Amino acid sequence: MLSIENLSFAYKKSKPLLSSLNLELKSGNVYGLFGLNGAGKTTLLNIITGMLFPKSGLCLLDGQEMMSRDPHILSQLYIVPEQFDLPNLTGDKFIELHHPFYPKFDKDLIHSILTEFEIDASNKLPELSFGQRKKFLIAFSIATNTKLLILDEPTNGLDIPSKSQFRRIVASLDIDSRCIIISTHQVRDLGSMIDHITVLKDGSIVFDHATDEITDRLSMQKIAKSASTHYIYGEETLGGVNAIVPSSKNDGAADIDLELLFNGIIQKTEEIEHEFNGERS
Amino acid sequence: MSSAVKNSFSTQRVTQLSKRYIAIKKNMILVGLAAMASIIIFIKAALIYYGDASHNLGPSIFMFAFVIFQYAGYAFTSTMFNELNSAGSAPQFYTLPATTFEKLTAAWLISYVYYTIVGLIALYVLSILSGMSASWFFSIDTLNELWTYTIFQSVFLFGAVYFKANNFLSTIVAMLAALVSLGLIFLLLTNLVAGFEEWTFTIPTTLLASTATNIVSSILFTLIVSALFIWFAYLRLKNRQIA
Repeated sequence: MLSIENLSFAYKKSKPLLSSLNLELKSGNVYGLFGLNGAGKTTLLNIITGMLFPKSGLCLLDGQEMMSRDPHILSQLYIVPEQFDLPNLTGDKFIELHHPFYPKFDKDLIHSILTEFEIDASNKLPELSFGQRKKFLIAFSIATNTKLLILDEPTNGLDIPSKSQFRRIVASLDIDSRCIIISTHQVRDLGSMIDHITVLKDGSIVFDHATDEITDRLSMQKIAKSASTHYIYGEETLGGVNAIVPSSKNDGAADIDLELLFNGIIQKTEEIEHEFNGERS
Repeated sequence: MSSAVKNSFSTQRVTQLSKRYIAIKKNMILVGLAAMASIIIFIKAALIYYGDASHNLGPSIFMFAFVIFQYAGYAFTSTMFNELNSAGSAPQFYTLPATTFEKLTAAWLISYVYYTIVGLIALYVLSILSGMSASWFFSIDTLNELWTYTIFQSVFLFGAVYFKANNFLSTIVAMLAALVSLGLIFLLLTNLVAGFEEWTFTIPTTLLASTATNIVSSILFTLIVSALFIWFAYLRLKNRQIA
């Protein structure tokens, strides 16, 4: 669905932020895009949505270049940016004015999501709190039924019940023909929703694997400090070490500690990637 | 809108974009209309108060109102792409499924065609209230003013897309800078060619068309220059990226 080929980008008078990036995103997946501050996540999302042009390389959605900003291609994507301003309109008016641009827009769906989020669409959008505006835009983005849905820090500004509601709503979606990209630092909020993990570091994608593959190759365990178990990366904690160890055939499928995995990828990039290159031990 | 989104020009999308521009700028438009109505009422009240003494003021009042109409139009045009100036609102505009040409066409329709129609109707009402004859309103002088307005409006439309902040003032400063630069180049050239004192340089503020030939050439000149700046605006909008 989304194909990024040898993509490089640099802001004027700055060193390259993204260099020779290659990425293939397929429908039916929820991709988690992670990276340290300044790694280029938002820049990459801006390139994917055609708001920034790469210095070289291609960004294609269903074979069409995003730089063209053609209506056909734009009608297949929606982005909820981390920070955004909404026009001085009521929610209802916003929907009325924008929904005709999205041919698969589902009016019933947006009203049911807004009801779940307890957002009154008859209110003026700028008069809502940031969290309420975010919930409104998330509801609108989901209702567009676009092939590609991009959510940049979707849970920032949401209260605790809303985060659960958001997870529930996304989990209930039929995403067979959709691809969702979630860029976030809130790994504990959203980890359970993601089925593919992509990590950006120093302008390159250093990790890009499905969660099934990760659990197949790596195991996250708490081991005793005195134990002689070899681990790839570990973080000392009360009573032991939270560690990433190579998975063995005897390990059952376990949950991924995304925070630990992310730290491991950043600190021990090559060692972790090595586990995915060779045959399974 | 149809289920299959086509990339070719769509009047439906232009209509929807126009509705969107009007809805977003509703407050500004309402304030403008209220100001216009207030000015008309104030002028009519003043004319009634001063009675016969005010009869000769008609054309002056009309010209003053026309200047207001022009500069308000330029200022309004300068705000057409304000969404692009903020990283918070720009994504809504960039990712809206319409072509760059449609987005620009809708902005031009609102800021030039609709604005001019409403503005001219208001000026006509004002001219009637000022005791001027309707024929004066439809005279060649009014038409000549409109050519200039059309050209400068396209320049401000380009400024609305080109600059990233304070678009109205930035466009005025850029225009002044361009005029000063051209003036200096002209002076330099004339000085080199035939001597400074034998040449005069005047900045054209209006297109004077009094004969049929002049009218046609004025229309052509207006169309070409306006189309050029609208084309520049299109290219800039097509290539503009989020800040």
